[in-house]
Amino acid sequence: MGSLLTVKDLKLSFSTEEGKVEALDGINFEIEEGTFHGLIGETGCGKSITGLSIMGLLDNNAIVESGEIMYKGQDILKLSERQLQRNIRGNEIAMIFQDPSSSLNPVFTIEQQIEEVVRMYQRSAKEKYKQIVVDELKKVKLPDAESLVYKYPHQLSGGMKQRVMIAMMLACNPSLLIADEPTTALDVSIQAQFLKVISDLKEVFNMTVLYITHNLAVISEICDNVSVMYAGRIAETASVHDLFKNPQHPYTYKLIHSVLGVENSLDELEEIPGSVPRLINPPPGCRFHPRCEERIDKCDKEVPQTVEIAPGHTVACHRRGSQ
Amino acid sequence: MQNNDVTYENIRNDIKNLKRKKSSQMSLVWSRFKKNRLALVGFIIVSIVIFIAVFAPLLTPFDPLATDPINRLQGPSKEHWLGTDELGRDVLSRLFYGSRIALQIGVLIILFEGAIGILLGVVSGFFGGFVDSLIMRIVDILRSFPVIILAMAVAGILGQGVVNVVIALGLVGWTTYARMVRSKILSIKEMDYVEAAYSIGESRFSVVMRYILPNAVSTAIIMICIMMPTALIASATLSFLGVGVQPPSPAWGSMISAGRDYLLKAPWISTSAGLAIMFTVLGFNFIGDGLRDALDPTTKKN
Repeated sequence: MGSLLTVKDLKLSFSTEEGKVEALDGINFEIEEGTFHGLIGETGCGKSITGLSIMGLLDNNAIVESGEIMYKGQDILKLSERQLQRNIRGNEIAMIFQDPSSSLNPVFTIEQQIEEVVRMYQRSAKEKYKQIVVDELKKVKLPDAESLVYKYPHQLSGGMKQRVMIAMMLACNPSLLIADEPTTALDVSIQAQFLKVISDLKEVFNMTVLYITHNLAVISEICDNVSVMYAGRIAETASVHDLFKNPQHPYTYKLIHSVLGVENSLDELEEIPGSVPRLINPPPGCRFHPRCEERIDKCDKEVPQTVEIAPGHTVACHRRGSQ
Repeated sequence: MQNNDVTYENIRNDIKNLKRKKSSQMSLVWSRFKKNRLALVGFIIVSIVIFIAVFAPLLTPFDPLATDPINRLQGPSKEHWLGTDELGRDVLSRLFYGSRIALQIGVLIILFEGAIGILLGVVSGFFGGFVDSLIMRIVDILRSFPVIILAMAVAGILGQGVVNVVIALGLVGWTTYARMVRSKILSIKEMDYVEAAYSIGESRFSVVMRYILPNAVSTAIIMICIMMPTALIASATLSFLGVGVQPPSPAWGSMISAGRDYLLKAPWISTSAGLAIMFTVLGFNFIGDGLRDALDPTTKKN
């Protein structure tokens, strides 16, 4: 299968009062059709910005400096606002946001909101709308969908709202779904339900999903490929299996070993010293070098090149690339 | 919070509300409104005023304009419940007919300044940038004048009459709406559901119409109820100062003004008109406060 979305050398910055913030510095990754691609990293590393730039929903103070986002043969960054709204958002790419409780319009019922989407993207007789809405809700395993449609968002729980959001996005019939930390605001038990629904998207509906999260466990369960982001750059991209079995970038290694599981105790956890650099004045060379235990001389001088060390496994580290 | 008790009655009410489906939000607001005593009092006062205004000809025994010089400045009696004024006109009849003028002007001002203010507030808040600065600077300029002085000047230029009073007061009044609505729009604009709306391919127009405006409606309704008393007082002030609705029309403001000369001899003229203004204003204020609490459950009473 071919790639559905290719992000090539995307550089993006924000002009702020304090100066220019280089939010993304040369992002590269590719999403194959029908796969789940995970984008993982700490808060503020540019994950959400990547998602929003694919949607063309960046704030006004964002400047795209270079690069392209190729989606089905066209560069999204070159499309006008009108083209984006008509041809891309919704019918091609849809997005689920972090906080389900604020992502639904509080003054309309679930039916009214999903019906709006159905009216926009699925041509059908007016009398059938309600049935379509109910069917969409059943797709995401919402119980008692027939009475649910009359409720307002505040009458639903967080997990239900997030599933309603997915139902709404599915009603758009998009080719690509961007999920921006969709489980962060949910309880753990609800997360499991939600992940079950979202993994069904792959098996039943053959969806392509860009899953943005900071939760490694979720990535390992549902994604096919993963890109690890650090401070506006991609540190490593690999299949889930390769990434967890054979992490190449020191940051990836640290990330995997800093997760508290049931088996390991707090003493066994490895912590990453220091904190994420501020992007207004990022460290020179490899941006991870101040926190890296394996750094060598040139780490703080040269930006490491991204090299492919195995098929589909790329890493940007001086120690792993050609020395 | 005694209302949170899980009683059979409450559960039955909940079920009843759920069954009403689409009107459930309205009934929810109404049930919250009903619980507020003051709001209910306000509702009753305003209902009475509206009733009097509508049925004034049936309720009044006298013509409000008919003079009777022999019986001028009579105190309250069986015939004239609130006495007569300096030309022998029945004060009660004038008071009743005055409610028509008061409500008419009030409603017209609200509609006029509300329409301008809400429209400009939405434009200002949604588009931002230069348009926003322009509108807000105009607001600043208009608000830097004392309202009554400016309205007097405008009324002086336009001449007297109901429509001109509405224009004179509305010209400044819209600024309050514009500011309030703008700030509300600014906060709604940043909500996740607006971003989500864009992400499903909604156009800017439909985002404004379906996502931003409906969420600002409660603010607008509350604004209208709170601005109504202001409009009533301002129009009464203009009448009092003699630039508003003119005698012999029985406007409450001009009744106070006319009765002022006989304040010691015939206090009932000014007093009754003053009390009429006070109760009407109070009624609208209570409704406004009650609606604010009912529409926005997050504002808790202390």
